Amino acid sequence: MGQSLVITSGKGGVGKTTATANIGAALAMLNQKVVLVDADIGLRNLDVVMGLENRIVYDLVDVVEGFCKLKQALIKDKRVEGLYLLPAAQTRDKTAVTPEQMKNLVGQLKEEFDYVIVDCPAGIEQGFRNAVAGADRAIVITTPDVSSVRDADRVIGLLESSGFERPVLIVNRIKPKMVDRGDMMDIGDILDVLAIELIGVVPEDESILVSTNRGEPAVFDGSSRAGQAFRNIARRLRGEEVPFMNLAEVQGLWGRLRKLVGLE
Amino acid sequence: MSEKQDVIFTGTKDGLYLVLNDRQDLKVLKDKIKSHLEKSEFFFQGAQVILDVGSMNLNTEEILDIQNAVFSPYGLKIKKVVHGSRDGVLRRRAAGLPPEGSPSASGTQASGSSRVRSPYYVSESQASCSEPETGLSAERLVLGPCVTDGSIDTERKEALYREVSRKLLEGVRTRASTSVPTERPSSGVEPRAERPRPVLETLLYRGTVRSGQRVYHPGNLVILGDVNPGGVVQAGGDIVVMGTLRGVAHAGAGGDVDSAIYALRLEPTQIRIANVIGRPPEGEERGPWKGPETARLKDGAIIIEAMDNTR
Repeated sequence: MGQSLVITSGKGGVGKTTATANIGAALAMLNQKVVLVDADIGLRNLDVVMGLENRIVYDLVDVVEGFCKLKQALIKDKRVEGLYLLPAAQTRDKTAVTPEQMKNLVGQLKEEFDYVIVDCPAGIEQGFRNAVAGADRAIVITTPDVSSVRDADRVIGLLESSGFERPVLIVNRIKPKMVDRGDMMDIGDILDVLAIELIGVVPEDESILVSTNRGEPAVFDGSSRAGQAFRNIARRLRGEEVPFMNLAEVQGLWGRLRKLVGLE
Repeated sequence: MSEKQDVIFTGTKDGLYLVLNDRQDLKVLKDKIKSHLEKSEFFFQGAQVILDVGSMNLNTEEILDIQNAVFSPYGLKIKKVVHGSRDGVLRRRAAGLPPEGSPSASGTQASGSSRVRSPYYVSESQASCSEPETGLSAERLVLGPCVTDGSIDTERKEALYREVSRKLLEGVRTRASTSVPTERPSSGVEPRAERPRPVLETLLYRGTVRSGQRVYHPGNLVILGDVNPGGVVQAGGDIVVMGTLRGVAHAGAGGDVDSAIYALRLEPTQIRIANVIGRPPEGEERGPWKGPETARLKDGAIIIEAMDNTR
């Protein structure tokens, strides 16, 4: 019996889908059997980010409505063993599925897979309720800006009132230099407000945009810092103690030289 | 559904109508059909079979295999394969009507049946459809009234479009039907090329089919615009895209293997013809645009050719 996670944020565009794809792929690289469930019915993206769009024949709604078997709708990832995608329907909307049906579905998937990761749609309406219905744990993702943190706070409240005991936090797209200058909220500020356990900090990384457009999760790219951060998150989810990355390291050769000669 | 039978036999005047439980494993189904035939060998001798596979997608090999392994020993021949709805068939059966996929049902279909619906609609996520949609809901495509019936489209202003598009499609149809490859795999499935294909009603759709939109029509479908990724166009007959096809197109959704897809620019996410699904090869860059292309079935596989070759 595996466990189910939902990745949610409230606000759109903070990286739920990217995080789902990358954490899922990273867990699969750790030899786990993983299925990613796109709960964003009507605005599906996970298939595109995974580069599996053209393999979709059946989707989540077909499964729920009984038009196909669950196995028929699962798309096997082409790069890593043990990674599967259950795509959302694009021509339907969130009301096509009920929270009970999602719970049932995720329950079935948990019997087959070690990890069931549900990509939650933005918002706190039915799509959100569907996505969190079957989840055992919740991962809240935020970017270091006030509106995103505000929405994350709202979502954490909703999660706690619907029985999630300890949601965990990922801070995405942090720019260490801006934090250093005091232009960006730092991790401490965010944790002050949200007061939940932090399981990852993902630096802003241009390679994410490239990998998203190519349909290749960044964790497959050994040189991507964001990919490294997601791999660390996957290991922390497995229960390993992994020290947080030293984000300041990105200051480049000049910075390192300055450090060497003791200027900083 | 209370009925748990995996295979349902119904006699119609056009032959044996066989409804399969599309959620059941094909092997199990084959065994069930066999055992049923064994019990009543002489009764069915020589009959033609209409195989209703529901939402199952069988490829040519699988159909051939069913023909050879299951039906041939009992002197039965698969006449055609349809995608019906099990529920619908059972309902009609209870009402004493022949199944809709059987040819004899086409007459009853248009008149008074509750299942007559508008011959097309665009379903968007916001659109409230009265019926649940399926992922590959071929049944509404194949079973909807394809032949013009005055009662259907009176209130629709597309009537004019249709007249125009039919003329346009006639041209395409003539070309398409002459280009059908002469050698087909000898199969139990009736070779459709031998008889003239029925003239299907054609819908002319003006506008771009965007992500999340689906346009379907039981006849032929002409899109005067692009089909974007995430958009779906489905037709019982041919599909013509007078623009770039980037989304999913499904021609011959009712099982017509002679259907084809024409597009000024063919860069699809996926192409489906009858029950064959194809996707473009991965990691291959499309070269510069070389003109309109067509996708059709040849020997059970989807092939893409320049439009010139269809003459």
